[in-house]
Amino acid sequence: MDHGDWTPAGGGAAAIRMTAVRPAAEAAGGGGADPAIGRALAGDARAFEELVRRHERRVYGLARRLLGRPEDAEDAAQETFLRLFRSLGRLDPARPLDPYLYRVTVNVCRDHGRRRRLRLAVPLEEMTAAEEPAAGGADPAAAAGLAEERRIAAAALSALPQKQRAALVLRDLQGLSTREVAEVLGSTEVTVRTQISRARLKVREFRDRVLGGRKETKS
Amino acid sequence: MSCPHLNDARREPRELELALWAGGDLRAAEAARLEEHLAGCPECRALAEGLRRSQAGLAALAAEPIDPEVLARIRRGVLERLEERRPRPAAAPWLYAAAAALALAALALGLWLQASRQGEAPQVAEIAEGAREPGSDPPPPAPAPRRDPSAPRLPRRETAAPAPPPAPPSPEPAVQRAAVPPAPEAATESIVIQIVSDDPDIVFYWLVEPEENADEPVSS
Repeated sequence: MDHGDWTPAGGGAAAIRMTAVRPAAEAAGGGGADPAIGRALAGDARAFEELVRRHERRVYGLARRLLGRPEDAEDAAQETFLRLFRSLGRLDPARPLDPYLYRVTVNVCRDHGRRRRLRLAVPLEEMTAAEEPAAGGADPAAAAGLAEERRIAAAALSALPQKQRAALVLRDLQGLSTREVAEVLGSTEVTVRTQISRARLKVREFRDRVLGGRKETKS
Repeated sequence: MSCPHLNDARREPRELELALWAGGDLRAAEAARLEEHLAGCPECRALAEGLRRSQAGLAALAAEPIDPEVLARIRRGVLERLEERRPRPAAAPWLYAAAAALALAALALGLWLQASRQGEAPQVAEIAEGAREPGSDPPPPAPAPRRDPSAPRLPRRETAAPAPPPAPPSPEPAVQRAAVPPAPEAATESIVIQIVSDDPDIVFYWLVEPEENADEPVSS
């Protein structure tokens, strides 16, 4: 495919109003000013591809946990990057990109969720099966136990109300602080603390129910 | 329920506080106070233990590996969709300016051709007549006869140079053709000027139609 130069719309426009927050994934190279933004804005297709590469894991990971199904998460991640491309002209290259990307991903997933509201809940087995590493290794029993924990956690997330799920995923899976979560969600820190604590309690309850139900079935 | 904090109206605040503690979201002083309580309260300890396990499940989910092929598919999809939307060269303002300039040039050419046709048409007749009767004075120009609508329209060359001597069939009267300057002859036919841009979807056409009486015989 020819990745020649193309220029995003709105090049050179005003910077976004997003408050710069320290992204939790800073250690992974996601924070700080990104010179690739400026180059992509100038029409350098390779620079934009570089941006996608740098953030695709976080964007897809967030979408995956917000939406449940891998194929929905892929669509949402693509849409997020397309929105990023369209907004390049309004971004400030001196600011970190993660807060903006997190916010767009949450919005895209919310829109996606609205379109699919009538769909049935994601079965427990689908939650992690698609990307689960091959069973085996040094301790197959431990690997199976880990896979089970992941499936339960994913199912518990999908059972949460949307706002609580977004807050919990950003805090506990993406590693943002409560202040950063509040900024991404356009909320207050007090509200976020309430959302994540309620969500954690529900996840615990879900897990206890699932495991308790299985123990009862076995006995 | 033995714990007074989990057994009264403060139950939910206590649970929420435990949930915050389980995620490391309590300030140091608050966490110390809660841990002191946990040391003497088996019920709260059980709840805290359940939270610890469910938090470990979330952490395992966060650490779940992502198939690199999924990420590559996302990247490919994004770049392909951007490629589809890639602005074409025609969108460049300079191309529109060049196209406008060409259109103006075409307009000027069309006007010039029309003007030259009006000025040169009698000369065509003279040359044609001269070619038919060399050495004789040219006849006065006759008024152009009205066309009979029912009559078939004839090519101009046949009427402008009538009655050639019987000769083997020839596709073109070469002598007359040579005698007629090219510009007036061209002016008797439709001219299409095509301006082609870099974008195959953008082509400008300038159509110069001959006037109606240009098909009429200029002499009889």
